[in-house]
Amino acid sequence: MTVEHRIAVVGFASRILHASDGSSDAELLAPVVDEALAASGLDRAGIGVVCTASSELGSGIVGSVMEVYDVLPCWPPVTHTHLEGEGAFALYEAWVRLLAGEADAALVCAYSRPLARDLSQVLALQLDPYLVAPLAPRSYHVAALQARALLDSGRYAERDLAAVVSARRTGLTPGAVLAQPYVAPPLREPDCSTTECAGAAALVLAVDPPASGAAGQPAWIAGIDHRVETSALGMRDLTRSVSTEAASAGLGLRGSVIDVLEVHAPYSHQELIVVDAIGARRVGALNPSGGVLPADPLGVSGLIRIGAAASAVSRDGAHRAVGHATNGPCLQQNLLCVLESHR
Amino acid sequence: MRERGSTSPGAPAPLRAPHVLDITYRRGVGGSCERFLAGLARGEVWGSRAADGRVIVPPVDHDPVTGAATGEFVRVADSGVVRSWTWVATPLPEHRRDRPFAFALIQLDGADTSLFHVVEVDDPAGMATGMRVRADWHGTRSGSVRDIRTFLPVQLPGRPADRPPGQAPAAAPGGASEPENLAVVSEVRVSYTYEPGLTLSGFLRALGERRIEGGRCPSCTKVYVPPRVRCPACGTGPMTSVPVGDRGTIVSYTVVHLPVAGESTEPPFAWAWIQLDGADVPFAHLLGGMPVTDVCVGQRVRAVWVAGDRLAPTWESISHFAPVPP
Repeated sequence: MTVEHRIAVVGFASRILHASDGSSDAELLAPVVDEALAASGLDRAGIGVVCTASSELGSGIVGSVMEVYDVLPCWPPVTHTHLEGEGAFALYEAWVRLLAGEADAALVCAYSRPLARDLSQVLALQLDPYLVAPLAPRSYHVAALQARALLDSGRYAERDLAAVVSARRTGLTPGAVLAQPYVAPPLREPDCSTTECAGAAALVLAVDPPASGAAGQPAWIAGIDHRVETSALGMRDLTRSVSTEAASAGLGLRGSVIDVLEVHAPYSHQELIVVDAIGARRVGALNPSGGVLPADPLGVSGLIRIGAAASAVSRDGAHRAVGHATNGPCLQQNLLCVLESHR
Repeated sequence: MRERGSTSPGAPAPLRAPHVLDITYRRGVGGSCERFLAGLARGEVWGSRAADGRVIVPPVDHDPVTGAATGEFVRVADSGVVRSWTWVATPLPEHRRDRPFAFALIQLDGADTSLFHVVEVDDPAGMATGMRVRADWHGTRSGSVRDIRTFLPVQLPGRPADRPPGQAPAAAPGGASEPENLAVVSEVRVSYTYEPGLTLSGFLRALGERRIEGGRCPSCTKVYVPPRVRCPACGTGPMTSVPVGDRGTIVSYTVVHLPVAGESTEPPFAWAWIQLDGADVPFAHLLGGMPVTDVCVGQRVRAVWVAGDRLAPTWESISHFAPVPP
C-alpha cells in the first residue's frame, strides 16, 4: 500500500558480531538502541510504540524478550509488541500503528545470537510438519531445489551465481567460487549466507512534524508492501518470486528508477530472483551495504537492509531507495519498503 | 555453567553452558492432508482438484492464491518426473538413511504440482531434472510421508517391467489397515550453547564464591538482585556492582504440594520471594529448615550455602534459605 501520510525513518543503528563477546541479548541491543535514539534526536520519553522481533527457537530461550525490556523505552508503559520473525515485519507493524495515530514516534528493534549449534536445523522447523519435515531436509537443501530450478530455467548459469557471491564476498573471484565443492548442489558454501553471527538493529520512525525536527535528513516512507506465498513448495514456481512481484507492482516499482536497492538474499541465486521480481527499469546501486552473504543474523538482516536503504537517502543523497526483507523457505515471504528524500 | 571462551584481557570470561530443547509434538492432521496420508497407508497417492482444474499433490483444502475450496479427490500415479533435486552426500542422523541420496521435487503422473521427497541412486551423476522415478513403498505403512521409503529411477527398457501407474503395491502383513486417529509425531531436538551474558556471568560467578552481587542504578540508585543490563525503571546503565547480604526478608511465598517435573526437592516445600538486605527488589528461592506451615511473610531468612567443594557459578550454590534464629 502507498500512503500520503508523512512518516520517516529518523534514526538507525546496527551491529554485527562475527564472534560472540559473551553479550546477552540485552547487552547486544542496548548500544544500538542508544545510537538510533541519539541519531533521531528523540529521547526515550518521545517513543510511544515499540515493536521488537527475535527468534526464540533460534536462541533456544523461551520468553527471551523479557530480558531486553530493560533496554527498551517501555516504562512508563507504551504499546509494545514482539514478534517471532524478521525485524522488517516489526517495522511494518510500527508503521501501521503510527499511521493509525497511536503515537508520534516508534522504535523498531531486532536482535539475534547464534546460540543454536546448527541454525539450518532450526530453520528447517519452518517447513510443513506433516509432509516435508519428516524427511528432515535442512534449510540449504530446500534452497538448493530452488537454485536448481532457476538454473534449469535457462535464465542463469552457475557462473551467474558465482558472480553474485564474488560481488558480495570480498576477495573471492567467481573462479574461486566455482572451484569450491558443493554443499547441496548446485549450491556451494559461499552461495549460502554466513549465519554464525550475532546482530542487532534499531530503527526510529517519526510522524511529521517531529521527523522534520529530528537530526539529519529524514528518509520518508513512501510505502511498504509485505506478501506471503504458500508453504507448499511443490505448488510454487520457485524460479520466480511472485510475492515480490506483487509487492513491487503495488508500490509502483516495476519499470521505475531506484537509486539504491538493498536486497535480503540468504542465497546467491535468490538475489537474482528478487531483483528480477522487483523489475525496476534501472537500479543505481545494488547492495552498497554489502548484502547478507557475509553476515546474515537471523531475523535482523532484513531490518538492516531497510536501515541501509534509509541511510542511503538520509546520508548519501539517494532520492529513492528500496529495502527488501525475506523470511521462510525459498523466499516464502517478502517485504519491500520504499524510502524517498521528498515526502 | 562452565567457564570457557575468550574475552578481553582482565575481564572475566563470560559463562557458557550446553542447552537442549527437546520437545515431541503429536499433531492431529485432518482435512485433505489426512486423506493424503491415509491414502499413503493404503499404498495410494491422492490429490485434490482446484477450481481451475489443476490436480494438486499433496492435496490442499484451499487454493493458496484464490482461497477457493478445492473439489474432488483424485487418485494419481506413484511414478512421475523429477522437477528439481539436490544431493545429500553425507546423510545426517535424522535422515535415517545409510547411503547418499537426493532430495527432489517430483511431479507425479496425473498431478500438476510437485511432491517433496527422496530419490535414491548410486551417485549424483544418476540424477537429472526430467528423469522418471517411481515410489518404493514400505511394506508396513502407518499414514506417513515416509510410507514411501524413497523414489527409485524407473528401470530402463529391457529390465523387469514396472507396475502400471496408479496400481497399488501388494499389501504386506499389517500394511493394509486404515490408520485411526492419524497423527504425525514431530520430534524437535535442537542443541544450543547458552550464554547468559556479561552482567549475569558476573553475578553467577560471585555465587560460586559465596557472594551475592547486586547492581545499583547510577541514576535512581535502586539495587537489583540479580543485576540488570539497564535500570528497568529509568533505562540508565550500566549498573554499578554492589555486594548485598545473604540475609533478607520473605516478601511472599507459596507452598508446592505436587511434584514438579525436573525439580528434585520433595514436596511439600515452600518457594518464596526474598528481599535481601541492601536490595530494592526480591527474587525467588527455596525455603528450608522449617515446616512449611511455619512460613510467614516478614520472616527473616538467611542463605544456606552448599559445601565449599560444590560451590559453582549457579543459583544452586545456595541450597535454600532458612529462618534466622531469633
